[in-house]
Amino acid sequence: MKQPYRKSRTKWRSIFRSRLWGFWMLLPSMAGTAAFHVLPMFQVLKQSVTDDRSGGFAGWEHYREVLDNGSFRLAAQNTVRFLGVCVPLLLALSLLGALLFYREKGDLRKTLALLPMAIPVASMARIWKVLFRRYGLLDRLFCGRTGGVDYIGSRWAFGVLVLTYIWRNVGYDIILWTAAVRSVNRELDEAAQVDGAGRAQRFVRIWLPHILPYAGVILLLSLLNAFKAFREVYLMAGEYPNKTIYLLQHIFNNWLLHYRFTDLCAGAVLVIGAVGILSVLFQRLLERDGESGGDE
Amino acid sequence: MLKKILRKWRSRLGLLMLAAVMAGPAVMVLIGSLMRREELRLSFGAVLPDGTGYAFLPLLPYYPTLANYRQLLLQTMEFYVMFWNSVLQTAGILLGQLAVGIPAAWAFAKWRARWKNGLFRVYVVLMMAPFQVLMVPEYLTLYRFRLIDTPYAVVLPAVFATLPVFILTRFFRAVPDELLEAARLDGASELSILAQTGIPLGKGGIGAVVILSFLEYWNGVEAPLAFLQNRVYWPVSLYLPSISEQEEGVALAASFLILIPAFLLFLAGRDWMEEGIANTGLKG
Repeated sequence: MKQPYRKSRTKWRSIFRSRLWGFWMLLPSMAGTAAFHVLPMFQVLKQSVTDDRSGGFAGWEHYREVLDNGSFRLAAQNTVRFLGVCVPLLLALSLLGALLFYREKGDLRKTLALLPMAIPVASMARIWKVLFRRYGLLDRLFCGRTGGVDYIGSRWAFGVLVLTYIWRNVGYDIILWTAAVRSVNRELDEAAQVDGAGRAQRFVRIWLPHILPYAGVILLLSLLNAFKAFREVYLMAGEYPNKTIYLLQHIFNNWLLHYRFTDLCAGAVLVIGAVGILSVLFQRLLERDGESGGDE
Repeated sequence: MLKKILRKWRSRLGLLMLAAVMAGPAVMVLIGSLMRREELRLSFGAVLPDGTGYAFLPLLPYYPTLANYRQLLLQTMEFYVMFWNSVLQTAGILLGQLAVGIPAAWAFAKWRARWKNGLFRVYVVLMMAPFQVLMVPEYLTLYRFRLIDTPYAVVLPAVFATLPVFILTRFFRAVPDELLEAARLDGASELSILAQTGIPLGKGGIGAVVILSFLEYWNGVEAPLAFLQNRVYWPVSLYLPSISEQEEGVALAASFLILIPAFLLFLAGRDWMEEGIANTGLKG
């Protein structure tokens, strides 16, 4: 038998009997979100169009400065290129993994694929040096005696970064795709097989339509994780890495360190704008899947 | 018959290769940390500033020693300070996220009000925003309350991250409404319904949040780097790269020690983690 619910008599508890109970439960979270994320966003907007000396309206001035800034351009370009290369690659690889592993539940291979998430980036960075620096293991493997390629300090760094991102995130994405693959209607698939449909045909006609609705969310989460790759870059190559892996976070940190707030605010608004457009697009995808806070 | 054996061995070989790629770096950390300075210099030394020749991969240390651990734990005070910083900051973030996130997620899942859908949409957008975007607003608020350069600068903004709320909402939505109606008829307040029905049934979600958040903040780099200039408060993840390469063995010992908690939690909560990740991507 379940214990009967204890009746609370204290007054503050009675707010959880009124119809507004949910509001009180949401309040701490809402207050914090407003204080740290939503309200100061307006100040960032205001700062970005304010002249720092006169305090008057500066219009597009700061934005133009930021957009003309070579470092900002480099960082933005690198970030976009990184996202453009690594995310599609990861999605394809992990889908392949999911198709291979989806059957068993507690699959050892899936656990192994998830393991890199549990290895602290700082520990990993220490070993990466042994693997990828000049005269490191990779260098030995590829260049033998004549070598001498520093894979972290040269233009190869971009490749190392993509590899690292995939290594770390492939398990996460395999799990996401596995959930999608499990939604495939098995009976339909078997019926098609009995009717003599080939593998490729079944994949295109039956599997893909089931899997694709999930692709938007998985793409989004992969992008989110890609933004975290700065960690790897920073711990591997420090504050001033090779210029192929100089990312937006580097320049933001730099501005913060030198108290260049107007640049920081204008840059932040630009990035927020780009991310905002992306997330509106994704929101569409999510909502098409029936995702929202609604209970109706 | 032969084909069967061949296939079996092929799958074993595949598993072995996967294990080598995924777990290899962690094993290398352990092996390196057990090596003497001279041996380490010989095998990994090539990549260090004054090294010669090429690095090679040793399978086992010839003369395993705990000297590195001894030096790290007995002679390096900094390690304790920073390890403890990491523990405190991660624990603070986790407790805060649960304290704030559980009631909020419960309300999102079970409370009926129109405007909360709009609010949830705001939460989803914030969940998608990378740190680089949220950093500037966070900085302004921290600056206003004079929290920059204190551990709270790392903890407080992370407490209000919206991803945990999102995951918990997914799990709480699966709690059947009939149970709640029954409890309400018994005269229970919504808070005790949450405590006595919601939390026990949403355990999976809480487990998922704990493990995913732990792995995220145990690795904290971005926020401490942006908000903490005073090294006294740095977490161990920022301290590690600053150990000199002359002390590679000690650095590897430290790397292994910070790997242990993450790895144990991973082993203990792997299923929760899997369920939590799958639930982030699944349809509502």
